[in-house]
Amino acid sequence: MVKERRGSVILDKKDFENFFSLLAEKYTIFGPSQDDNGDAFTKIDSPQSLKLHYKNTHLSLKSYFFPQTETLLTFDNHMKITKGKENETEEQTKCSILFGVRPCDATAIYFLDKVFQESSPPDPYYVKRRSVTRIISFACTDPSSTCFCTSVACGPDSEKGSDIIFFELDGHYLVKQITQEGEEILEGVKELLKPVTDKHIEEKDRSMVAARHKLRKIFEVSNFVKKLENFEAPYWEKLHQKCLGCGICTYMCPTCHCFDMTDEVTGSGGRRVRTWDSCMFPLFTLHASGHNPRPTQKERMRQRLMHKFNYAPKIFGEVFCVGCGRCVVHCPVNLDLRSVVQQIMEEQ
Amino acid sequence: MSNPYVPMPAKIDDIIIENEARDIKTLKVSFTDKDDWKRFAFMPGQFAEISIFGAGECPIGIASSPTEKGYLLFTVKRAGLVTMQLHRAERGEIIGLRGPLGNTYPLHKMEGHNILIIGGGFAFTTLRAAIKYIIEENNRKRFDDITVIYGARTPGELIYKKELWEWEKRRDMKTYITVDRGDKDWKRREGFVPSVLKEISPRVNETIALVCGPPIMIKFTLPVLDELGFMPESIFLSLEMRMKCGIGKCGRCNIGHKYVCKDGPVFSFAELQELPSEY
Repeated sequence: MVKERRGSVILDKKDFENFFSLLAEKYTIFGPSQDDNGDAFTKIDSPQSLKLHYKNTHLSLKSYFFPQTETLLTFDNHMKITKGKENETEEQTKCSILFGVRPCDATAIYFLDKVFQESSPPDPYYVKRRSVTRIISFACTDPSSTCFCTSVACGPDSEKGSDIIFFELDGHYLVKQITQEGEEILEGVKELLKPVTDKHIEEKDRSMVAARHKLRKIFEVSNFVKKLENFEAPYWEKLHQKCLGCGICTYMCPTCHCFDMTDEVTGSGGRRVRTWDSCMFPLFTLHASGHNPRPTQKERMRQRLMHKFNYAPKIFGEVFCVGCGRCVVHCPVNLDLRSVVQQIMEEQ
Repeated sequence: MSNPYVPMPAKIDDIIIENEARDIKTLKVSFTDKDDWKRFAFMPGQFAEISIFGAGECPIGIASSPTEKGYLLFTVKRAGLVTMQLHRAERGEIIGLRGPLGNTYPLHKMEGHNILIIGGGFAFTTLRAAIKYIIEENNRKRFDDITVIYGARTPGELIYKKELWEWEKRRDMKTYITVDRGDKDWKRREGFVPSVLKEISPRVNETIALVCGPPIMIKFTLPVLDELGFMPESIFLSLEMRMKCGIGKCGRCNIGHKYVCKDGPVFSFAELQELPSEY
């Protein structure tokens, strides 16, 4: 494999089908598909069905690693655990590649890794799925009007979470390997790859400058993190008033990872399931005694913002927002996170 | 990789009804698989997620001390779905235990110090574990004066009564039991825990205080400790919060950037002063 300029190589667009076929021999490939207009990632069997020019998918990729509902264990009527002890998450013989991922969504997985994989104890269900999945992202040249990745220390060419990142050039792709796993993938297709030249690098840099230009930087995130130190600030009283508490922002968010654990019983036993939950719901923190530390939407909305922009930086050194704009798009009352941040920043 | 979501099976060997209202029971349990004792090496202050398959899990403090061998004690107040089922459980039934979870009382820091233990009502469970641990024959000499103040609303609501009366008789510790309202047979103290604390004014120098009780008791006890001269760094509180995973992932038991399940449940008052008062 040609190794130049920090692991960057060139793939001609005419070789893309071959490239895809070689990958498909070793990996199961998921990507945004033509069939559903790039709205979600599905299994891709031929390069023609890939839709690489798309706006952010409807759903983020978190459910690939952290499904909306999953069985943690099953038990029988004698209170004996019948499944779960060995963590029998579905066996995969082939590794998967998520292909054509937006850098913001890959960055979100990088954040989820910190919660489920790097914090002790690791979550075996997540770790197992993550260990058999590779991420090939595509640098974003066509952000949506709701995108604000450059405001939150992410960006159209963020490398976090990706094994390989593609940059689309005129007639070529500039392919940058980021991890060891990325190197292994490229090793298998090395006959298709060519060395990169300064011209390619310049072209890539120009396209990223253009992409960044489309993304208006709305706020300085480090200032916002500091601003939130004032937990009892009076503005929390008014910011939440429009919020219905529907929780859609948390379900669509690629970094929200709160979950519930409940038991379901059938005639012959039952299962313990984990399901996405939301800090927007009153029951989320309700004690059995009736006490609720977050009794109104004020505290709950504050929790959501604080968790992403103040607590996560303290715990992981990272703001848990990638600026994908899904919460902005899907909020039924148009409670726009960007304007909430701006309102807070304007407060004394 | 071991799976932190899988409970270890344990058998209920005995059930003790603790109070007059009969809504607090102590379950004496033991692991059915001997190897699980090693996996469950714990210290006072920690808790476990107790499973009743079909009902779910709930976090319960470990009321026994690691110095008590061959059994674990969990004192459970009937409050929600799982605790209701735990109250219905009978001797011989199998429950699940995940743990030990959370941090411990600062036992290393407590060595060579006077210990002041202040408890109220039902929130005396992990404090019992701490007391049993520090007064155990081999451990006792590592701690200086031990003072226990424990109160409940009525005599019938005091838990671990038999042990309370034994501790009262011991010469190597001072035990003050009080109730808000006595009955005709009550010969001991009447009064709220904070006023008893004020009245006996325990030594402050080289003393570490462990406090656990209902919010109203905490609210009035902390100012008295402050008045007596206790530094926030020497006061330790054990908190409770709604929990699910118990391992800092499910996201609901946080106070600011600290998770009660993982960073707690024991926090110094100094630590709590740094956090938002959202608990």
